[in-house]
Amino acid sequence: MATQDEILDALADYTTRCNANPKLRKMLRSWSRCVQFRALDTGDSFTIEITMGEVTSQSAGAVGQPDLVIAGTSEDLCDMFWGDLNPAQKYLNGEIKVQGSADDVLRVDAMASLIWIEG
Amino acid sequence: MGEAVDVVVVGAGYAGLTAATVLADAGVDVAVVEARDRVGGRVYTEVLEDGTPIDHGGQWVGPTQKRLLALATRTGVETFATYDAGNNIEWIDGVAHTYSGPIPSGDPEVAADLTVAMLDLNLMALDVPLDAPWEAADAEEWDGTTFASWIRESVENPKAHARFALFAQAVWSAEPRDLSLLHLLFYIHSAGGAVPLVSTTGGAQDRRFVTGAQGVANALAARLGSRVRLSAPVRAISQGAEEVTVDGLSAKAAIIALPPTLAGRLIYDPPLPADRDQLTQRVPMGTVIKIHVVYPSPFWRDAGFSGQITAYDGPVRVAYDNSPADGHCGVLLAFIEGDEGRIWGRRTREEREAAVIDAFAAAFGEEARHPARYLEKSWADDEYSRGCYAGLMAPGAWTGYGPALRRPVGRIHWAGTETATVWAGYIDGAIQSGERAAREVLEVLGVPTDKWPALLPESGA
Repeated sequence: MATQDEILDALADYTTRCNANPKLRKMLRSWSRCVQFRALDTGDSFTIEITMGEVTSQSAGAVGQPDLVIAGTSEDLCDMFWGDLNPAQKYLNGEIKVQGSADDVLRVDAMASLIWIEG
Repeated sequence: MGEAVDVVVVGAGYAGLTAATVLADAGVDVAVVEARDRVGGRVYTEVLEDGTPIDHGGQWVGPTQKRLLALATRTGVETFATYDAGNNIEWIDGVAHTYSGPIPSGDPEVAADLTVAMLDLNLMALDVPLDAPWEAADAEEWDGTTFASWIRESVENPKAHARFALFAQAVWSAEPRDLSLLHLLFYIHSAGGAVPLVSTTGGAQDRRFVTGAQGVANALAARLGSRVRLSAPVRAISQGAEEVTVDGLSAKAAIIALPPTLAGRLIYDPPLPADRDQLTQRVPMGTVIKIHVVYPSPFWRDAGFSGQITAYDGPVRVAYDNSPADGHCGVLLAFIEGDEGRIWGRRTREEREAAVIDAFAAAFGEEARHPARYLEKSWADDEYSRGCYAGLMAPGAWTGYGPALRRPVGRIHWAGTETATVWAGYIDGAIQSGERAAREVLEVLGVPTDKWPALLPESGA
């Protein structure tokens, strides 16, 4: 189990790495979405805003109306942000659940997978 | 004077049966004419003496293929999870590596390159409009590029090239040089990503049908009853101002639920418009021989193997555990695809059997040398399919002829999985196309919309 502070630390690192990744920025260049993460075991929520492919804000709690909701255990979310787990695998197994349009799911998969591969 | 109905549907595969079902449920007088002595088209289940269903054709259903799942529920055909426990085997330079999940990881560096390139393809795919791939901003460039040239230019590690060749072989039963990049991207978008195409658990190979994949088609046909006419190959279609005539059967509209290349074999009077006729010359079928080897038990499971094989040379590059749901016997499935399908299709059944058994013995041990049965189906040798899994758009086909794919010609409407926008090339896409074509016809016939049956649930995410 990961605490809210631990996840926020991981999320800050994730944001930095996403924004510093030229490949990802190019892939997501025209994409703006509000993404909410839900830790199912602790009940904590986290929100990031993506504006034209750049993560422009991150905060604890459910902020605003999410376009995409990503739910998993606090441990899995933390590992995903640190780039320590293969998100596609967890998604296919149903351990991480993503609600949103099929096209948005592909884009968040690209974010998480690139950080995993290069992490 | 021949017989008359409201609508004639040509082809009793999933597209044709779905179209006919929608029409019949709306109170329309419909007849389905089918060349073969069975329904199902490229989905064909043979039941062995002991009751084991063998799917010689399409056989899987994935979690986002909601239309097919809905029809299975409606017809009471049960599904079960594809056997996906234990280790998969990846052959690299004659050495067996084990892995689990959708991406072979025997060489981690190659696996990472592969994943990055897949993500690139995914995101390019999002720029391809599903209902009009030719309108993508980069359509001209992508349709003028084969998948082979894209691999050479975009994938640095040469070891990853063979992995991409396998992607083309496994998904399209074709070679990278056969595929337009635009078509590949369309297909990826239509399936919701590259990973779902190749995945067992959670992907296109997620589940199977307990009584075989033809079960749903059989149930639809049983409901249609005498409207379905088997062993009635259509040769000619003529149309005038008032009616369309299909081999003497006249109707107000016709739905041709065939792959484009088979539709192009019919004789039309008056002839088809040039763009439609030339489209049918540019959508070749893939080349695949599907092989089943039956054993007294699924012995590889006890040794910790899933039965899934990935290889980059030899005839057997993709294999699965295809044992029946109750596991009363073991069945291994091998696909011989693309160039290997062409090469091995020219050889004898005995040569193929020996090669496949050798591949299974190399992977799972000597017990594989004692099968109870060997069965094979070469789809390229079947005159009423001319290949499988689907027709693939050659370079230039989408940009040169795309709008002709679904545009009706007079009273003739087009269905078939090749005309689908979601899960094109799959059973689910065939169902979408049949429903879409039937609704075009209901509109033309002026059937009030309150008589139209409800839409099936939308496939996709």
